Amino acid sequence: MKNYKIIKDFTEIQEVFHQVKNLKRGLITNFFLEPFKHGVWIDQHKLKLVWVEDTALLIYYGDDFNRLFYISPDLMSLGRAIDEFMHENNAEKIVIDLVGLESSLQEVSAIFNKEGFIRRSSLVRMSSLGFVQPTLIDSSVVCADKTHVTIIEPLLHTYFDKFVEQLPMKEELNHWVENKQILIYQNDNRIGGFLIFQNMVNTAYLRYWFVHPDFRNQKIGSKLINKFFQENTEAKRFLFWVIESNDNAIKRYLHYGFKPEKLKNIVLTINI
Amino acid sequence: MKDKIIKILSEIRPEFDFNDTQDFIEQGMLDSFDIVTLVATIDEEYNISIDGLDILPENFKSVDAITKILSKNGVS
Repeated sequence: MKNYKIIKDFTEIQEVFHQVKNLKRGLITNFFLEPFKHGVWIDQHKLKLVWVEDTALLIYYGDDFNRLFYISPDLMSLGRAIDEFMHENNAEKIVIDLVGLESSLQEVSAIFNKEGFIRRSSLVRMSSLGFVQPTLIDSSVVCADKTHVTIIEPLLHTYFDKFVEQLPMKEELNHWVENKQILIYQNDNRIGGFLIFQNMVNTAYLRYWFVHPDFRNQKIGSKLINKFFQENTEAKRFLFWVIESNDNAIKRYLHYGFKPEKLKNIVLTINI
Repeated sequence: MKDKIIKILSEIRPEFDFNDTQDFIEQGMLDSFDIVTLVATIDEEYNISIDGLDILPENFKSVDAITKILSKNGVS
């Protein structure tokens, strides 16, 4: 059995990048730091590291399935590492996200396919540039408070694909509430829809946009997204990921001026 | 060197003007995916290998910061 080490600090991940880069053979990775989320994983001792030859594998141990990340100098090394790792973990439920230009993902994807991973879904990043003038403002759309988290969390788990859409932990939802990054549409004490976003000055990142089936065809989605635009008037770029096969959603986003980028997220799974 | 850095940055995120910004990270112009892409591009363009310990947002937050990383790797 390989030595699986619990990651206790971000610097340990930085050290991994250092060791792989020092080989001077390149760097391929699907681990892109998200400080808050990964900080929670580390605090909860849910992130482990294992070295297989020159490749470092990071495994997030979730409640239902694991997420696999790699930091490797090249495809050949990655291929050997995954082959060995899967011999030890052949019954584990694993999800892996590959992010990049589609052409660059084919070879990496083939490594995982060889081990039995299947393509569950793919997402495309869409973006909109420049200020978007809000048109439909409704006072029923307000920022969520912490009491709403217990309602929003099960809605996410019911209506979104937990393997594909990186559903947030309760800690992240609370964090976004504190930052006023969750908008809700409320009617008769029911949440008819919500929109979750993250923003930095120039970029607003739409994470989840949802209207409950009981509240559809009431322009609630429009009210939510217009409030989102109103809250982000300084943003020069709006972006989000959408499931590539979701034609209805893509049509809706195109309507609001979003355009697909070349960046793809291919989601591979095994034993799921 | 500054022009070349801005050209590289503009190829990664063509929608932004990198000339007049003090902090690309704080301003939301580069995210963690962009930084990994930027490191790979710089490695290839300048035939260097940026140390993994230097792959930190603050080392890529401005043209000056990137220039320092390049200098550290013998690019002048």
